[in-house]
Amino acid sequence: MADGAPAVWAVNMQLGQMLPYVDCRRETSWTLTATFAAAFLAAAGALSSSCGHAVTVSRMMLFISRLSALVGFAFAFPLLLQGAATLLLSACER
Amino acid sequence: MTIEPGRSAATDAGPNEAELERRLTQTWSSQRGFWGAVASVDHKVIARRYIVTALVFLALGGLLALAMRIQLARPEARFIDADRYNQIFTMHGSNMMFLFAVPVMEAMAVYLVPLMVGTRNIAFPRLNAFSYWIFLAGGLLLWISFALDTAPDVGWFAYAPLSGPEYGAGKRADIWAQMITFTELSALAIAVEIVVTVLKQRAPGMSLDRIPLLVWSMLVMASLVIMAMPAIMFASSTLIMDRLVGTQFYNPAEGGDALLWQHLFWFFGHPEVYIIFLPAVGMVSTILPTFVRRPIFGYLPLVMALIATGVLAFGLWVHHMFVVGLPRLGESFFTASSMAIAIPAGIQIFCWLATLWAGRPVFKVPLLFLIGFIVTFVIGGLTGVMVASVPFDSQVHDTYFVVAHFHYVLIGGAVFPLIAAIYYWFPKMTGRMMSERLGRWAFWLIFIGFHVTFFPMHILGLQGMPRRIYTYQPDLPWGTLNLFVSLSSVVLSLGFLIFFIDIIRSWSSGRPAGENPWNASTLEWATGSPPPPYNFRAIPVVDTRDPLWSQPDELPVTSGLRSDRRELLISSVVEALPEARESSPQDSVWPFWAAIATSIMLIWSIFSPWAIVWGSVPIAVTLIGWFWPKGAAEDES
Repeated sequence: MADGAPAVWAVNMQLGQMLPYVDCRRETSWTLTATFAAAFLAAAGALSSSCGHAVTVSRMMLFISRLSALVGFAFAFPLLLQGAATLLLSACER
Repeated sequence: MTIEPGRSAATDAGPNEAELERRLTQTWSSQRGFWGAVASVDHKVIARRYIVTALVFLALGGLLALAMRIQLARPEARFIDADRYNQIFTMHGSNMMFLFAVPVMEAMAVYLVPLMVGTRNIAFPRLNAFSYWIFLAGGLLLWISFALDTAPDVGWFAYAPLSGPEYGAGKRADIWAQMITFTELSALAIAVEIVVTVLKQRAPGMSLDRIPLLVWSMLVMASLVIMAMPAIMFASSTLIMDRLVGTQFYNPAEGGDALLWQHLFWFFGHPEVYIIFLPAVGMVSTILPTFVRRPIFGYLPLVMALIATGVLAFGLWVHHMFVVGLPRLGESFFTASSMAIAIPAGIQIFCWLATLWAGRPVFKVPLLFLIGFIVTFVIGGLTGVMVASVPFDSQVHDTYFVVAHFHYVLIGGAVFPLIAAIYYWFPKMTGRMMSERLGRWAFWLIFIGFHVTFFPMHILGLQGMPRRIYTYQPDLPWGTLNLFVSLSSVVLSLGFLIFFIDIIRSWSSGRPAGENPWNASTLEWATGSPPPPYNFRAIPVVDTRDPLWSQPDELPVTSGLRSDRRELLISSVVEALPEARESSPQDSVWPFWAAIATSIMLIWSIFSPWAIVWGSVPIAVTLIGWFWPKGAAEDES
């Protein structure tokens, strides 16, 4: 499941280029919502992968699930940083 | 593949070793003579050509750097005029990035990956030959234009509108753009070959968790090339169209967007840094265990770091554009990703330090360069985190601080490991050892010369010295440091000169190496040095990550591949279980002719759009010749 973390992060990077314009014009918080949702998804995926290897018997599946968990956490971290940025910066700031 | 009833095929299972080697040599060798060499599709032959050509471009690019340092040594110097200086810094950057750094890393992959995964040739070997000739043509185009005083003068990233029709008169920017097309075409070709070779041609038993780290790094690098390079090919092609047929991609007055160029360029340009750096990570992770006599610490985290770095590399490009006026919130996302990439980079550094800590280091030349790499790259990484911050970057943007930073990352992060790799794999490629004495001289001169050349540039940048100025006034506070930097660059150059002398001298008269002079653990050392044309007499079977350490006496092998035609073993992606036998193409001169035809079309299209139409005809003819069935055994499915 954490395999999706890079995709979630990539989508959020693109949204980060688009949503600030909307948030500034309409005074909404779409950037903040999207970023924390993405961070939650990436972290949940990583946790699910790390729990997954408790029930895995195949050596290869163990390797893949551990790898997925690490990758998931690696992408949850920048998403959390991005979430923090949405709390600190105004969408209208240039 | 089918075998005619009643007729048995010659395989590598039956005959004795000498007879089998004779048959395999006959099947896999290239013909002698000039045309035999041109037609060769042996990955080792092509990789050696690539490496030598890229090192020639390195030397030429270094001479350009020296010319710039002579010009900047004193204020208001008149050694080079402004126009020539613009050409020189553009040539230096473009040459080092497109003609040296990326090609040499891919060439190392072309040489090493098939050997490390235990196969007899790279996937799509004719495409491999084609890519070399295209790369050579692109390099010649750039350097001939420089010799004719018509070289590009728009910087290595050729920002629009400076490179557009309004400000870039003549054909200089077109030459830059078309050189990009040449080099990216060749890079994409190699990337596809590497991905397929790694995923489908691994030796039986080399499952995903047993792939050597160098091979992992080359797989990630090739994936980055496939995803990043189309952006720059699109950019260069649309720039040529703006200049040649009046399209308006980058002209805001007609509905275009100059910032589109920056987005396209850096969407490629930042992953480019990791395209150069990740192979270096693989080299370090492969060489280090050999010289500390223990397996690498943290294989799984290192694989994760390679993959995470490769993906994160696509979310950093806007940090090159912090001063163009994008929303601060959007920029902060790229700051976050730029800082987050320090996590996988840090994991790599700590894994290498742990490997060193737990091992028994033998301080041979390759290890010296690896230690030099760790020191230098950490400094470059720290300044990378600094310029990832919007307020700091806004202050030092386009100053010598940035010049210092990216030379620390690129030379420290890629050239030091590359030199280590050349010292390490030179015996494999040539059968001869390089000199330990000259290597130590080269290391200390390059290491000290590098730091005294580039560290003061941080200070120059903080003092406000901009990039790309061809001179400065005497009353500015930059003169003393610039003179010091220029003198230091001589020390650095001397180190590289000794390195090149060592290569030439060792190639002709170095000490014979033997099969495995370093007592290394990976499969490329399980065959002769240099390897025979067929790489392995029998395909090895792998059941650990360090096969030559776990089974030093005799490696288990598989048999059954035919010896009377070029045949490869195809295996499954995850577990590397044998799936099929596949023929591998014979030598062919058609990739060479196809590259000539493609080069003519690309160069002609700088001058006329009709080149695309009429230039495609000879390309089609050469491709028909390339793919036409010859009735050879290799044409069978």
